[in-house]
Amino acid sequence: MRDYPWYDIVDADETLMQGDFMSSCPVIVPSSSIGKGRISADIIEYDVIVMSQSCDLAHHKLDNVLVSPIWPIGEMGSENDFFKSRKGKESLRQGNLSGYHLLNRCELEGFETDFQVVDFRNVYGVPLDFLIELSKCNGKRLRLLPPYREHLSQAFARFFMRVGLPVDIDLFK
Amino acid sequence: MRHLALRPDRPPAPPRASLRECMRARLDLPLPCPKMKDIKIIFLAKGYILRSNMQLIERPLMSVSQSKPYPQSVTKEKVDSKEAFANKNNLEDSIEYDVVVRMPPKNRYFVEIDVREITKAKPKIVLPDAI
Repeated sequence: MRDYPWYDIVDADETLMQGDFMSSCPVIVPSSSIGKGRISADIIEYDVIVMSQSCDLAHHKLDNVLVSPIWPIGEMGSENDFFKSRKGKESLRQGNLSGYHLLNRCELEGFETDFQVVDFRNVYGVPLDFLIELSKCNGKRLRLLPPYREHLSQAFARFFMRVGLPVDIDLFK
Repeated sequence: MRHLALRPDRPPAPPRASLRECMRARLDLPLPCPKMKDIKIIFLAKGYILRSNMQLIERPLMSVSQSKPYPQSVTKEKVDSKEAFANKNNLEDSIEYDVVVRMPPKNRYFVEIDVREITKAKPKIVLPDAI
């Protein structure tokens, strides 16, 4: 059977694609009142993965790139015990935790990571030009490879298309 | 019964042996057997693990044949409960959970921004490529 590696390392000047990892991506959170002049804002930094479609990115068909924060599973576990438990990890692996997606460990030299969790609930839109510049500054980057990239995209679609019914059908007894 | 009636010379089937008797017979143990209780506990808990020494234990995992001298039914029951336990575990794994974790950002700092201009956004229209 052929090998299907999860990740590859790409050069900084390679075209941005879906599944590219970006470390320390800043997001500006302005204060509530915005007017002309000087305003205060918070900058929050996340390690993110690009969710926008590669063809849109390649042809500059969008101004803002959709990115999802990613977290090592250990950090998620330190915030919530459920992610420490076997049940939680197994649910994550099986895709039964809507809003989260599990990525495999990376053992590529210089990019070693534990299992990582993609957070679909807190996505951000980052200007494309800014992200391209950031990727050039960051140097080589990690890229999620097919079919795991498409699997991630599908998981996001599944999360986003959920419908909550105001009146559900009662349980069968 | 009809089949047996046509062959009256056939010897009667041996009486069904108890689990203890089966084990003793298989292992050729003297009576009373002090370790029998321990073996039985292992047998009940992990039945088929002992298969290398006691083929008898493995047999009841399949359908019980009355023609066998030592039919067993206890093991099957135990295996069934083990499968039920495994199925229950699998079922729990397949339940969808709604867990939300609010993770703190990797880094957070304060800045002041000079707003140069505030304009209303205009739509950016992207036409689909020609087919």
